[in-house]
Amino acid sequence: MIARILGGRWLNLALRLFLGGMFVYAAWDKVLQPAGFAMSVRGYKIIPFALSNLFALGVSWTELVAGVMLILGIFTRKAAGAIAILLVMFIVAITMVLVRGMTVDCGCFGAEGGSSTSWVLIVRNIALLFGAFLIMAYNDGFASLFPGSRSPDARLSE
Amino acid sequence: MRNLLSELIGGLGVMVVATLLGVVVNGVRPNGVALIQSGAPVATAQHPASHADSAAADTTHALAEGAISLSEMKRLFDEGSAIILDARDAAEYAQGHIPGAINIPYDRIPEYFDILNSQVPMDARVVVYCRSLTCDFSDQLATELKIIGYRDVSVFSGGWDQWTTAGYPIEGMVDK
Repeated sequence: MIARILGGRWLNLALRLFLGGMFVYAAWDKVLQPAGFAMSVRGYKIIPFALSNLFALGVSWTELVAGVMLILGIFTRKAAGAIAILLVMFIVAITMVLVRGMTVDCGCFGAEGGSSTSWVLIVRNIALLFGAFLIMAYNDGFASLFPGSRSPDARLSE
Repeated sequence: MRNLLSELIGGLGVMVVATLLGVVVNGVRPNGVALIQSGAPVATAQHPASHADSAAADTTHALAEGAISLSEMKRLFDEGSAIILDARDAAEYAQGHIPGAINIPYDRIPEYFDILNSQVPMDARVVVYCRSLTCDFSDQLATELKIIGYRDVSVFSGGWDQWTTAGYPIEGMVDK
């Protein structure tokens, strides 16, 4: 019963549009202002200094590309996989700065958003991660431009 | 579970392709960043193991590289020979700051580019401070200033606490 609700294709489409839209929005400022986002990355003091710019490019462009893929339905479940990996990285990074007692600019929506790291962000990211999981697990290629390989159900019954 | 794993591996592939795309676009655009950031972060803040150590560190610590002492700070202040930047947030700055200091909150530097450009010449002697010895906002601001191209940046590591404890002049809402 629960699986039928969580696995519904309309819920899946809504999650795709919501997560995809949110990540495209989050990426926008960072892609336009890579130097600003690299600054936020250095603020976390986790990534080696020399690699901070490259890491910032990788995160912001993954957000943009995976977000667009989710909205249009291009390799949808793999795009959700990329979003899930990002979210796990964000959760780990924010936890690390909180445990160390630091407060840094989260950089979540680029320089404009201006929120600081907090436990609320971790809860939010866990909720988003669950959404990405539902897309990975249940997306069947409904309303998609190019959904990629067969549906997960078909693969499970192999 | 097997299919979830394959979607995650596919997700890694998406990340690699997107990153390569970002690197290519970054290479051709005018405001691209260096792929490998040169230099090293400024690190003057002290992170003592306990709070008790922190009080001791105030009087006994050796100055880290790139840091200046209270007396050096006072001398620069009296001469007016340095531009002083306050790396704390706007609310703390409004409460009180070293007279003449310009507020550049450490986590909002991109929004303060205009102020930096108009009020702080690249070749100026710049001193940055934040709350206290253990606060690293000033290190972060100094690091970013050096990346932007400021040549002479140092950190007054004792910060606001040391300045006010010494009874030196302040400016702002707090009257001391």
